[in-house]
Parts: sequence; C-alpha cells; structure tokens
Amino acid sequence: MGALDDLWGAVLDELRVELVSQTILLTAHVTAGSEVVTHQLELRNVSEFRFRSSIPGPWDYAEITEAHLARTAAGGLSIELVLWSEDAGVSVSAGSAIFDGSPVMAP
Amino acid sequence: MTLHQWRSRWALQCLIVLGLVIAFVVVATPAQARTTLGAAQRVTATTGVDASTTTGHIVAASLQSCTRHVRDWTASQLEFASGFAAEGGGELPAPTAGGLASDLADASGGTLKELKSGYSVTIPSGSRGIVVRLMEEGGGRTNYWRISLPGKQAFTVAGEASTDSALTHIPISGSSLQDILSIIEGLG
Repeated sequence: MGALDDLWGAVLDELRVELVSQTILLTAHVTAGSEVVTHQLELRNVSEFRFRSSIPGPWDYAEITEAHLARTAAGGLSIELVLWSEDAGVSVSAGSAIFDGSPVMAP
Repeated sequence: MTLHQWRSRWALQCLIVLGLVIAFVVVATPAQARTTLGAAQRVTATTGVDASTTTGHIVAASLQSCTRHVRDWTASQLEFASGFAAEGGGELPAPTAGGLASDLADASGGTLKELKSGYSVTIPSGSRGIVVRLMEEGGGRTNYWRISLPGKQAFTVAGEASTDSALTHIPISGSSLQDILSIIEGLG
C-alpha cells in the first residue's frame, strides 16, 4: 500500500507554494457516495517543484489520478502526482512530508 | 480460458473439421467413394461400405476420424459451456487489465500505453481525446478501469460525469469492454 493511496481519484482544491518557508501545502477531497473526505499533504524543505501539462486548459478541475511517494538515494522524498493522465503532473523533491497530520514514512 | 481464447479454439477446431471433410471428399476418395454427402454419411453409419477394397478402408477410416473429432469437439464445447455457466452464472469471465486494454485498443482504434501498474488507451476525440486507464492495482484498488476526458470529467459506468471515486473506479468484469465502448460512443 502506498503512502498516498488516499489521494488517488481526489479532486485538487488547492496547491500553495510558500517560497519563503520552502513548503508546499496540497489540499484535496475525495468523494465516495455521500462521504466527502478532505486530505492535506504538507511538503517541507522543498528543493524542486515542477508542473507539466500537454492537456489543453483551462480545466474544469484538477483530478489527482495517481499519487506516488518514494525515498530518494539522498534521503529525501520524491513526490509524483499524475493529473488526469500521464500528459500532466506535478513533481516535487522535498525533505519530509506530513499527510493528514502524520509524518509520511516512505518505503 | 478467456472468451477470446475460447473463440479462437472454436474457430481452429472448425477449420480442422472442415479440413477433414475436404480431405475425405477430395483427396481420400477415388471414384468409388466420391459419392454424394448423403451416401458418405451412410458409409459412416455402417462403419464403411465396401470395406473389402482399399478405397473402402480409406473412406471408413476418414469418416470415423472425422466423426470422432466432431464428437470430442462437441463434448469439449459442452464442458466449457457448463463450467462457464457454473462459474459466472452466465456472465462473461473478467479479463485481465492487459487483455482488456488490448481488446479495447483493437476495438476503438486507440493507442495502447503501458503504465507503472496498468495500461492506458487513448482514443482520438476532439482536442483532448478520451483516456481509459485499465489498472492492475493502484490507490488500494485492484483490477479496475476508469474513463475520462482529461481536464474535464471522469465518468461512471453509466456514462454520467462524476467526481465520486467510488463510481469512477470501476471493477473489471466480463462486460467491461462493452461498457467502455458504450461510453465512448456516447461521448463521440
């Protein structure tokens, strides 16, 4: 099970990049029937942030189709979000991550 | 055995039976045996007429072989059909994500691409295309598919736009190919 499995199929509500503190705060919600669950992912000590897309905009909303997190050889974290398809996504390199209030333990 | 494999085997066996019949009629039956099909069937029923001749032996052996093959083939089809109905209550067996992706690409003319833990098929449509993801696993789910117009909407199995992940992540089943093609047709 992946650390960010709960984000698969979520609708992205906000992606805030704080350059001064070098953090990124992602807020998204998942709807399953009548239940709506909001998730927050905070990425700290961000060293790289990249958004790419060849899907024409504007979008109606941003769907987090896949969410992956892995430990890098240097000990940091690599976060990959697929938005809609492999033609769009967000890549982040960070030092640590907090997901829904708990530190993320990368595999 | 998938339905696709069963169809392929069925077609192959039909060809074998046809080949045996042709061999009997054209190759293995000289003038004496080159009679009407009705006469040939009577030969089979009596296990070869005029078996005192070499031709008679050939005719009898050919027809016996043909009859045996048809009987075995029919039994195997009945066995498959019985198991098929018992396992799924008459429903088609669920394909693998890869098999479904391949069938979908063939049926829709879409482009098949392998992903980390599944496949995607992109069908040309407008400026965005229609993307179908056929996943072996991901996000805590296994063997599911989802279809979307990237940047716009994801869809339920009924073809309705939705952000409900429980409805847009659809388990792969025997009807998935037809379900997906129906949605694509509705979007086209």
